[in-house]
Amino acid sequence: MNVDKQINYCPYIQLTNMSTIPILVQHESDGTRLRRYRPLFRGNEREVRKLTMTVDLIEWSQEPVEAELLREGRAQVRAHFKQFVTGQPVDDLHFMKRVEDTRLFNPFSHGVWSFCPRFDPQYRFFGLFAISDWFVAFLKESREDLHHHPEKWRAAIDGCLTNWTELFPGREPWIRDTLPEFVSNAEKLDDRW
Amino acid sequence: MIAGEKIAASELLDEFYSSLYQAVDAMKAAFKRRAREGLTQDMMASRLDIDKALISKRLNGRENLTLKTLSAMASALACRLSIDFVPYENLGQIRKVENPDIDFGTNVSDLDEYKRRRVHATSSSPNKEFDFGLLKISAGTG
Repeated sequence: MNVDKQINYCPYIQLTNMSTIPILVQHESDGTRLRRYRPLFRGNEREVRKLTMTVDLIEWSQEPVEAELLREGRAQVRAHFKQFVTGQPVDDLHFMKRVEDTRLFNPFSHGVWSFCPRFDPQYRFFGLFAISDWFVAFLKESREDLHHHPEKWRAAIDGCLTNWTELFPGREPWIRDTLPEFVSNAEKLDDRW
Repeated sequence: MIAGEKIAASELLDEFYSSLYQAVDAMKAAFKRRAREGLTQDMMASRLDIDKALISKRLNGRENLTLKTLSAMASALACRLSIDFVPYENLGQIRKVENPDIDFGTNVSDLDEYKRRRVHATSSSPNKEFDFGLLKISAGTG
């Protein structure tokens, strides 16, 4: 079997020869699992940071809903994401947060972060950085639900890592020691790390 | 300027929350300035005769704010709430936190950006493929 045929036969051969970002770009262009979040830009607003999400999350955030409370909740989430994408100041405590896993010696070594849109009803969006300023969101949970079921925090971490491994086989997420290595124009407020 | 075109309800909501987020950020920034002069959340709570937890919630955007509560917070911060109508065409300026370490350029494709980072990868990196080091890229530079 020649090489071209092998590549067509087994797409993984193509994927494993690529690094994280080209794989991510390929997933985005396929559009079946991941899509780029693109808010409505006004004036000179532009994409300074990148946010890629699962198709489910994108559709959830953008689909029209009847109930007023749900409509409000989704608009809050979109405004939160837009703040990230347009490069406005963020912090590592209220805007987004490293998720702690107490099962581990280094509780942040998995690299999972949660985005924390403000106001009520609150949701948490879990994901990992592919490189600095490029976040990939995989899951969401209601904050209320997480409060009542703490085990869901761990499930969210595991879920993100499973998604990452499936989509980026053999590639590590972006895990660093300091906030500016994860995200630009960010303020360090979280004293846990 | 677009005349006579209806604005979708969802678009109005998005604009509302974008403005509200900006208001919360401005409020936090004002508090940080006053905190350097010695103002505490306790003092603010006492000035407004409300619970300190509520001050904290408002400062962190954990409460749905009205114009009235924003104005009260402004008073507690010895500030006046200022409202501005910014034309869309003037939007897009990025506010900066102190000491931003990485500044990405403009209008580069994702792959170009990725390649540029690879070029800048630090030689001492334990994992060259992913550790691109801290970059200082200013707008418009190639």
